[in-house]
Amino acid sequence: MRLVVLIIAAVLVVGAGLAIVRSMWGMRAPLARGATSGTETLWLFLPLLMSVALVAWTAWVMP
Amino acid sequence: MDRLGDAVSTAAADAAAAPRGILRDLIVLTKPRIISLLLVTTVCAMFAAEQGVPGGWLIVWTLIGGYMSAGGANTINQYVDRDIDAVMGRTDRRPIVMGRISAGGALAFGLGLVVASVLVLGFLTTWLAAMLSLVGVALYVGLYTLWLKRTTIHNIVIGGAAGAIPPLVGWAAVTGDLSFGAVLLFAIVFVWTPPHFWALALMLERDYDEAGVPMLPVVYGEEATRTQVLLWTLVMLGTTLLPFAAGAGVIYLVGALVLGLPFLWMAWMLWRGDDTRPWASITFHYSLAYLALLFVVVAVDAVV
Repeated sequence: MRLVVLIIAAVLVVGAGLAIVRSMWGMRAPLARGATSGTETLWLFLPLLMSVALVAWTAWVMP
Repeated sequence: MDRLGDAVSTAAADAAAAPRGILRDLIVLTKPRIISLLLVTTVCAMFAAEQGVPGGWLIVWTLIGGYMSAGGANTINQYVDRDIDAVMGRTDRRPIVMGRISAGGALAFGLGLVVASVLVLGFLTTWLAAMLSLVGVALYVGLYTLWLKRTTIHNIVIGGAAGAIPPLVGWAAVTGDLSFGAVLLFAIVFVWTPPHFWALALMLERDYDEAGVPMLPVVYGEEATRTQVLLWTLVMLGTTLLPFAAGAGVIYLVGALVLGLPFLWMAWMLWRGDDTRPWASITFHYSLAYLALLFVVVAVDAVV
């Protein structure tokens, strides 16, 4: 049961996360001083990386 | 003589009302309505950390310290943002903008609250909780308000980390450390923030535009924002399932689904774009109740 829920969660988190990155890839133009395309790319990928790590960590600790 | 008497009594009433007015303005500066939701996540995280009911005084001191910490951060935020608050209809009646509280006075009040919160949490709960609350202030003021808010469309995504700190504070106040359960609660608030805030931004698009704040709907329009609300709601729904996979009970799983599926439906209706404003309002207001109730479910699941 917990494994099924984990798989569903992983599909939702990773699938939607990748869709977010794909849909916002073209929106990385720096808007103001203090923003660069590098930082914009970092902000775009950071939540996805965190989510993937969270799913992996959950699989690791799953009872 | 009657006129003189009226003038004297009016002056006396004004003098008596002035301290009450200042006190009210100071409370307004802390944004008590926003803090109430943060404190719900703090207390419920304490129940989860304890796997039962934490001590009453521990809850009281954590709430007081948490209020002062968040209140201090909110006050400093209004000091920094007083220029854009003045041009936004939602914020143009705030105490600093209206001149009822001086900018310097507000900054001193905010910094004082932050210092006091560290002392209260440190001496009366745990020093880890105190340090985490300080990290929350740094993220909100430094990362979000001073850097990201005016420079990137990802402002509320990354800045959402600040609002996700309170569950960590609550957890650390009970155990003195952080475990995976605390990380999951942090993540839930973090991924809840984009659909919550972008729904609000859809309602206040013109305000943000006039203030020059690069919120997503201002820069890339409503359609892009509606899509992001839906996608982030899916990420949020998936993230809320992780605690069950990690060991939470069936009560939590049922609660997460019962609360999360209506959120997804609202995000879907918003994404369709037939009535953006009404659905943005519905999604935003539901998101507030959603987070509070989800954390109540976390607490109930821990106690039962």
